[in-house]
Amino acid sequence: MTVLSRRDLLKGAAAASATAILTLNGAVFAAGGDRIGVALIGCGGRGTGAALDCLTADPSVEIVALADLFKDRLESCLKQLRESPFANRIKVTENTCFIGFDAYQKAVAANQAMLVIEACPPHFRPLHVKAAIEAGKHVFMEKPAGVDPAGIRSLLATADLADSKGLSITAGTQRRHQAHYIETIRRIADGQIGQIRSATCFWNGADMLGYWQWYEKNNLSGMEWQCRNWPWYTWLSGDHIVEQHVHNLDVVNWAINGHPISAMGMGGRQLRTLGNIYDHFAVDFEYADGVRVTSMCRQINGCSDRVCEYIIGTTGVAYLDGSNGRIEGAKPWTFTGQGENPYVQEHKDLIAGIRSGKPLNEARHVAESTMTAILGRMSAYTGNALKWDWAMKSSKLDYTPEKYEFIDIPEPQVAIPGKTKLV
Amino acid sequence: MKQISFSRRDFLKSTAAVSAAAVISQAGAVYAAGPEKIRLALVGCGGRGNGALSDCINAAKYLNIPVEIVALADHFKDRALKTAEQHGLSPDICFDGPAGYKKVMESIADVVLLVTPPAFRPTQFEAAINAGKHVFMEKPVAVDAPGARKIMEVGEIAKQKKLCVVAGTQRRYAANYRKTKFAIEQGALGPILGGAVYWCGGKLWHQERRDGESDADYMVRNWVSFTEMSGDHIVEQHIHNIDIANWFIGRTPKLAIGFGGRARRKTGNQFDFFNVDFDYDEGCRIHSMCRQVNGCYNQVSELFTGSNGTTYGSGPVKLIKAVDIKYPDYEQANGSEMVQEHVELLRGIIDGKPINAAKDVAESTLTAIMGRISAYTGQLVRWRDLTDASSNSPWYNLKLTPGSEEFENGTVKAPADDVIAIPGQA
Repeated sequence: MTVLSRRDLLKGAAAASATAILTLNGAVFAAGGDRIGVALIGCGGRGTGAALDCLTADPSVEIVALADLFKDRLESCLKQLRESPFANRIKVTENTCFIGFDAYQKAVAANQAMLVIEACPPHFRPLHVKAAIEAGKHVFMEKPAGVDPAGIRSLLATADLADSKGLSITAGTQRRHQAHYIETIRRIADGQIGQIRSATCFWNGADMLGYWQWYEKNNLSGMEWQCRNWPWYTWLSGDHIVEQHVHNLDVVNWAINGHPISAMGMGGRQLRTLGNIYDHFAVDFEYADGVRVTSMCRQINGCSDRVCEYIIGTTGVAYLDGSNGRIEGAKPWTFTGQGENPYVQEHKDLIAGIRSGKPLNEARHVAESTMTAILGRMSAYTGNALKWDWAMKSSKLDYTPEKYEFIDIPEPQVAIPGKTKLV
Repeated sequence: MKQISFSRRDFLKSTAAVSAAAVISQAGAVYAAGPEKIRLALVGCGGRGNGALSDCINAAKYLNIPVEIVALADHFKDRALKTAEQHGLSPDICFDGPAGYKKVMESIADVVLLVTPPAFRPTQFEAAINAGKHVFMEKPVAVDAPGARKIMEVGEIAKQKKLCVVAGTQRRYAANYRKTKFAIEQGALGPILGGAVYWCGGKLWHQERRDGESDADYMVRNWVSFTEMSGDHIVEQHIHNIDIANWFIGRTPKLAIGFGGRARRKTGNQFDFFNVDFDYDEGCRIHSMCRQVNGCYNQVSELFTGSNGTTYGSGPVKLIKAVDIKYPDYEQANGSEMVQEHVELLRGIIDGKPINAAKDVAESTLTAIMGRISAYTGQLVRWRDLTDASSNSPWYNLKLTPGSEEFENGTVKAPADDVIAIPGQA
């Protein structure tokens, strides 16, 4: 450890102004060799993956605390971390493993942690990120940023707080850290497809059962059953348009440099019988200046799959997907460079921001992209067309349950357009 | 208004005596000399059929052309009789059953209005053109790719025979839509680079099956609930808006990826909403949205984003940099595009300058069919899958049954109610 202990640093930081913290952080990291203690909240597959990505990103990273709703999930995560090449940087002790709905509070308070990785079901994101920022921790949070307008409003307030405290909130919309995306969007901003006039984006892929475990009810309480099967419940995941398709909507918002002003969406359940989410959505978004965006997402096996974005400008079309970026039209171009693994790169960028005293705060971007998806979902569920401003300012939709405890709760209903009320 | 110099009854009495062949040659002779009257026949005496008949009569009044109704056909006898009664005509001119249209083609009618469920259109259109009739046909004109291609083929024969063919995609005859098309042709909007077309409205009517009713009768009475009869609502209704996209963009899409589902419908086997991404190539994609669900946001329009601005199908063209567009004056008889389409049909006949909308309406029908197939199957569908035999696509020859053939030979078996297409499993 360095001369300045983590405890001293945090103690000092709590007393100092935001500016002072920046300088202090900068000074510490400039000196090099300091440890970056990480508390992981949400020890599922993605949380474990994010921890490993963070460990890969920088040799200073140490995992110091773990939190999850479920003991078995936490234990399997810890086992995986201890069996990884980074075993010597897993500094988790019995005293820094926390279980239950309040585990996050203990994790963000862990003195050894200066960075919190929040990878819980999206429902909990706004609450947990707020707690982490209030505790003075930098944050890496998975996408999406929430599941309802109430959560998005909370996260936006937290984004302001993070700025005022000089803290980072980096998000798991990893395309923003992927070389071919960055370069293509840079060229779009540079006018190489002219003015953007429309866009279309897709996440048409397989059913989640192919890559996520469905837990049977057995003797689980309703709450535990739903939380374990969180991707299938709107109140927990936001539905797949929010949970998964947010990636593509984020690219579109990034390219357009804005968010939609209205949305009209449709969706339904053609095959899905689990939980209460849909299995397909299509949304017509209107952006400023008459720019129109089509969003389509589907989780049905055996269909034509595509995951990509088309950005259409007055002089060209940009095409983007997970592996390539290219421009067709007046200034044709194809990305030929090499890129780092974006899941690692996002942690490198986060840590570089902390070290340079210029914390990377992506919370607003991901909050807007998440809200874009929420707007589409709300429209599809109710059959209403929606304005962004109304949803942001006036919608009372808030999926927070009365109590966070493992009791029997009713099975949520599947939305029926024309019947499900807009709130 | 010019007075008609002969009584309706006299006319009908005399026409009943002449053969079909004689009528055709006679018709040609009449026009060469300047028409005295145009003889109309209606196939399909439902709500839209009677509406089309009124529109045609009003168009004739507008043009001061005497018209006569000389034959009526419907699957159900009472429907045809009711129309006859409404116009004070003899029951003798009424025909019924699945082959009733054949009698109409044998009549002395100059113009036949084809307004039966879309499943029957290709067969009836072919019969009409073979019989030398001018045709007004309602949209859509088919329910499957072979049917749409049949319309295109027969449309070419109609051209050779100098017969007029007008379709009920009436926005193409509306002054406001024509102004928008004009502005696009002038380049004011710039190339179309995106857009959305909508028919989002409430549910249509549906009919429950009656006790003891035959499958054929049930399907005809409840035709807007069965894909085999209507093509599903993306084809039957939303074609109007898809047609505008094809018209304004000036080509058909190359690819479609569609979704859809059934949220609330009770009978038949249709979806009640669709969304399709139509890729027109050259950077132009159109999002098609249609829904027939009560209590939802309704919108029926077409919206296009060009490089220089945006416009609804019906206008106004809103440009980023204003340009003065000098619009021509477009005629719209009685203020109605649905009368105007008949005005242009009748005028084409009188002037001997036949107009022919068969290809346009068949292409728009096929575009909607492409979207439906994609939504039903979950697969990406290419235009060439439906138009080019060498694509070896299973959809190229996919014919929905029961169709005309099964109805005419009495082998109709209605599909089960409430059993729908499952994407990924078709």
